[in-house]
Amino acid sequence: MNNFGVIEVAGAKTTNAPGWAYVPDTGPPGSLSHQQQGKNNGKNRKRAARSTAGGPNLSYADLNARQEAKIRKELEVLDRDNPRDVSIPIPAKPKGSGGGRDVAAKHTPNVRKILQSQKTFANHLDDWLALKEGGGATGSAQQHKKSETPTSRGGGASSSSRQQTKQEDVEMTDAPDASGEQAGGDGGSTILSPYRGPLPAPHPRDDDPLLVSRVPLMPTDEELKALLAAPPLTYLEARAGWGAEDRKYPVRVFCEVCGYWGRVKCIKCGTRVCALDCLDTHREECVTRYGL
Amino acid sequence: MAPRKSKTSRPAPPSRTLVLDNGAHTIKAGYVTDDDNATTDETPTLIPNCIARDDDRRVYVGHELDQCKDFSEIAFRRPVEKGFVVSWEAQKEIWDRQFFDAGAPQGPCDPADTRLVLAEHSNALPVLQSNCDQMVFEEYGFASYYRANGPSLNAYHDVQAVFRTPRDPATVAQLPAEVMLLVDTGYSHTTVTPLLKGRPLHSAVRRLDVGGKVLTNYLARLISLRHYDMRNEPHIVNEMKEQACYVSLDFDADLERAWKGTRGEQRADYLTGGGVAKEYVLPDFHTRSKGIVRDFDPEQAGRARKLARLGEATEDVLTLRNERFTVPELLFHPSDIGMRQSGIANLVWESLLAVPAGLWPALLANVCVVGGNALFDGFIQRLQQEIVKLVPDDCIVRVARPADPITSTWVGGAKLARHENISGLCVTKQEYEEYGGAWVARKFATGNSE
Repeated sequence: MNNFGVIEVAGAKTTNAPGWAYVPDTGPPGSLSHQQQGKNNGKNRKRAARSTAGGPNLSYADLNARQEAKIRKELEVLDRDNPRDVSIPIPAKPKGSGGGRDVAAKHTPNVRKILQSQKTFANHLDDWLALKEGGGATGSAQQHKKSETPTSRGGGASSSSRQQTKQEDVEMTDAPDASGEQAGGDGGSTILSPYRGPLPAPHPRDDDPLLVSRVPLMPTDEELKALLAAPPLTYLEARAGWGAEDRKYPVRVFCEVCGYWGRVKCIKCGTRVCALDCLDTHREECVTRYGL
Repeated sequence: MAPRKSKTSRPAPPSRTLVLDNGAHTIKAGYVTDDDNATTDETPTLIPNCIARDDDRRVYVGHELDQCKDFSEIAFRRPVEKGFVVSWEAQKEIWDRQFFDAGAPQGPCDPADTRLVLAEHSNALPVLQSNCDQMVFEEYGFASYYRANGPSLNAYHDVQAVFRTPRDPATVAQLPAEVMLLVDTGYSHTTVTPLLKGRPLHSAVRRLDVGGKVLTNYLARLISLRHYDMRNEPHIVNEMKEQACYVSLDFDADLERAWKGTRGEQRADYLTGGGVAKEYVLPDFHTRSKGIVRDFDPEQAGRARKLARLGEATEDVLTLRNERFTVPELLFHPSDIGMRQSGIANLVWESLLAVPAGLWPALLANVCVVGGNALFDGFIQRLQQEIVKLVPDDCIVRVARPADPITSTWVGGAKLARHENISGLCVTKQEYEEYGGAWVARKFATGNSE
């Protein structure tokens, strides 16, 4: 094909245009972006729903896809700043204030890009996920750099000096802050200082094995250092899960009308209500449309 | 890491520090000078972090919201989403008017002679962090800057005073506190952070996506279902939440007391209010600019209903019953609204599981709660109850909140600004220009955690 001599080369470079975001396609459409874990890459929505329902997350046993969608929608509404979509433009500066610091001053390109960005947090999160999952070379490289820094530094010259301080007295820790410059405030060792307060008077039966209280061993210095050096978790990793403790008990359900325990289900739509009074109230507006 | 120039080549540290806790709902801000006589605790200014537009389409930026008289149908634009500054366009406008313009309330600030200590949440997205750094240096040009981990700033309090530990009154508090478990429950979310010597144990940070915003919206939904449509009144509902809601210490019993009963049943607790029901008088923004909570009085309620039917009522009254405690209950049981996350107590437990058991006794004896939700009555007691249920019996659990949990992070930041640690943590503008943004990001990430 004559392309006027132009040959298209598939480049690895991507550019982010405003208003666009590359999003990894990992789950059924419409799912919350921050519930990415445990999603499967299914084209078939029904199969996806069934497989998640059969998975370990089974707790809302009586939930069907429709109710799940409803819950998801409600959670989205609860997470909004405004009930409606509003766009409030930045107002003009009042005249009295002298028109700002330096109106005429030009922004640097970076700043201009940041100021003009209309991205929401969800966009940023999706971008970041896409970068990570899409095997973006840049993304993984950054990750490596981040995770390497603490270890590489630990292996450097500073580690030998630190091991020395560890064997010595604990008092060394607070010493010269200025020398341990990049180490943040606390410079050298991370050892916890021993208790120096008053001790209770000794008792003749202190050695009695029945009265001994067991205190778990303090973590060693290496452990503490490793803990402190651990890189921050990512936004999604830090999110609290739905653990075994939560799955022990069935989820509480409440009356949709008055908020008491939801002891009765509406036959038509499955909404929970507490008793006859609330059931009547609910029936007045119980709409069951096919496919709703 | 690139070798630092010798100390002498660094410019003298700026004379004053702007400490900024840029919350999603309110900015906590104030200047700290290096004067040693300033041992008294200052209080920050609270600035609403929003651009608001009222019913008359008048727009208020940040502190101008104080001038707003009529909060009905007000709409907010918030630059901070999920705890992180996302819309710098809006954030810049708020900061400009508050700090840098000629008409700024505390006089214009000269960034070139100011150090900035900015608190941010854990687990930020790298791109948002770098945006933040670029704005601080390239747009504002602060002389030096520390992007601090917000929860860890709380370690610069005299934590043992918060817990009222019996001790020799002459003891000088060790700063930063050696070990504590910080629960930060704010507008966007709730986080649990174990702190060791003022540094967060990153691998054990956990987050629950329930914060004040979700609670307010949930209350608005409940009221809209049961009384008036309040979905467009976030401000009024927020006030109602702050004044009337509490954390129940015995949820089942309270729910029982607030129940109307089934058909034809006359439950005494329901008729008399049972100690749970309260009346909330809505503001009308003419004679009353703030809502009032008052005890439920069955006779008066009956009279008011009659007046309302005749259309002669002078005030709009809501009777709040189980809304008062089911709303904050979401912090402990997010699954009540179908959110598949553990409650705060389990969050603490999850976080503990990520640290060696040797630290558990120390962490559990020093659980400190900050953030606006800590102000709910009963929150501290309930959290303590629930944690005790989960952890080994041998551990002593102490949960406390500082006198003002909202400004606690800021005050900690102010103390850090006067602490000797700060010089090692900050990055100067020169360094940023010389080593670049990636270096700065790395330094903040490791300088705080190494």
